Amino acid sequence: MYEILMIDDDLTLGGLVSEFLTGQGYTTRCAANGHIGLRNMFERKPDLVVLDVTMPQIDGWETIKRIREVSDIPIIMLTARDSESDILRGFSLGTDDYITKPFSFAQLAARIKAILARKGGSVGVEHLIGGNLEVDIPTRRVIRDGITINLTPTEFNLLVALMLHKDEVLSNEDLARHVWGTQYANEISFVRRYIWHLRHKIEIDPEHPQYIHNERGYGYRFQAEE
Amino acid sequence: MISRLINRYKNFFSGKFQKLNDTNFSLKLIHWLLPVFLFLTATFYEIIEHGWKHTEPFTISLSAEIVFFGISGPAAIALVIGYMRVLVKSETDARQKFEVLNRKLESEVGERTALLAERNQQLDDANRQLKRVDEMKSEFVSLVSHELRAPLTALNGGLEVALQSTDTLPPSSRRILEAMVKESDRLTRFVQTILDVSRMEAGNLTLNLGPVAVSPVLHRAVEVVLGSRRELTWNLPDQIPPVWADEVYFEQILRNLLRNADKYSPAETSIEINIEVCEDTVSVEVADHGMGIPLESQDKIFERFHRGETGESAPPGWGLGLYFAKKLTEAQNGKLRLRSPLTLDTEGPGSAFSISLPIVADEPEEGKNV
Repeated sequence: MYEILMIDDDLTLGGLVSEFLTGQGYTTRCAANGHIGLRNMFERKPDLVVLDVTMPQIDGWETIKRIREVSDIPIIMLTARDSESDILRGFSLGTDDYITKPFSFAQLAARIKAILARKGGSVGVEHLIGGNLEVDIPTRRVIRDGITINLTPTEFNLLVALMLHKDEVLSNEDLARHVWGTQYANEISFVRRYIWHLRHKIEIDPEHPQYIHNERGYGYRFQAEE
Repeated sequence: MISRLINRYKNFFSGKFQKLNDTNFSLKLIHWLLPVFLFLTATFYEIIEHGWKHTEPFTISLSAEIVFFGISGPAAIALVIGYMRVLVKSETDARQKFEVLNRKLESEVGERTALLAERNQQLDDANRQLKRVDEMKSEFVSLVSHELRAPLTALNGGLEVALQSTDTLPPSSRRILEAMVKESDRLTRFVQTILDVSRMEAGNLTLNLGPVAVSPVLHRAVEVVLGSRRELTWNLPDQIPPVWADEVYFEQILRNLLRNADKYSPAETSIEINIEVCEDTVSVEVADHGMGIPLESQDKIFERFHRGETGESAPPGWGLGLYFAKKLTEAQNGKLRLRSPLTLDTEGPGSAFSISLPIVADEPEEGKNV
């Protein structure tokens, strides 16, 4: 059974999250501030830490720094700050995921499950890698050469569909079905436009693509070229 | 030594001749000198003529000629020059008066300019103060909204935990919990909208633009907001090209329009959804058959905190939805328009809001290796 350490000065929220996660089959422990949290982490060696950012004494930023000095334990940060700079700061300090308040407990549980599965080696289809391009489905992050790329939800779904069928040719119909569902057959005629824009975001040279290749008359294929 | 002498003479003559630049002085000089010169010349000539030749008698004819040539001629010239002097003097007086008026005007303009600069400074100060107050208000709203997020998370999460075991709850408790979930969702949406608005006003709202398929987003918004509660009339063309927009905010705007149509029209009437593809834009219109929006309210409907209906029977709302929707649409180079009533009858019912967004430009033909 996985043990989860929740570090949050909001004891009501901590208690509720604990109760929910216990119901999901996890063992949970709450710490009311960064000091207690760090002590608990070294004593109990939990499998995952859920860390709030805004706390008295030492805040979440400082706590994650101290944790990362000694451990690569999975960390999910919780915060009411949802600006891009805060999110990037979280990732640069080594968080595995970043959830902004208000969030649903079900979403938190899904992300915990995904991260723990990844840690346990069962990467499955939640973390896709093709050359220097990495896609993390639960956090919806796309990284190329260590740099985060912003994709729209449609572009993200297109890329995931192609990467899930690496080296296979997917027709426009296949892609439309994967991205929008079978009822939106009309979108087939515009798949080319979506691919064109997606290439401009993920390819270093869209004129000579390294990842998404066109198979004339058939469709598109994802194959990472070195 | 020589150069000192030259300079001294130069100064002396320049002082004397400087007066000649004055028209009045020159005319005065001519007025008196020219007749005297003519008189002397004529008199001298006549005396010489009569005294030298001996042919002319040195008597009455000399006097007559002197009077005629030496006095009448110069007197006539003196009169003409006198008249010219009067004219020049009146012109000079007028010019002086004009110059005085000009100087007065200049000084008045100067005073007014100084006053205007002072007023501008005051206006700038007032503007700065207003901006600061507005910033403080936005900071306050943002702070309060942030502070509301933590308890909202606990509230929503608590309800989520409680709803996990609804089977064991009596029906009345379940109904109460469901109502609380609904209200908590509404409050969450409100806090999120306030945060989005304050972020947008501070210029910190980041759009993630890209091609967006209109039909799936619209169907998803309809499913979330209306489900199968309302009768819908769809009017969609066969082919709808993708628009250039932020997918998340585009769906948020559509949900807002659908929510308004649902709120402000009787449940038994249908909601129309029309899509029109123009040359370079796609327009999505959500039309309802509610009471419509009076003409006098139409230009205020997109203002912050403006409510279509007020009073106890008015549907719940905060008057931020359309304001935010319009600002968001404009940020995506689109337009949000209102048409009310739906028919030509100006007293007729119904209103329609349409959002137009630019069509994604066609991609260039792909090369062989692309």
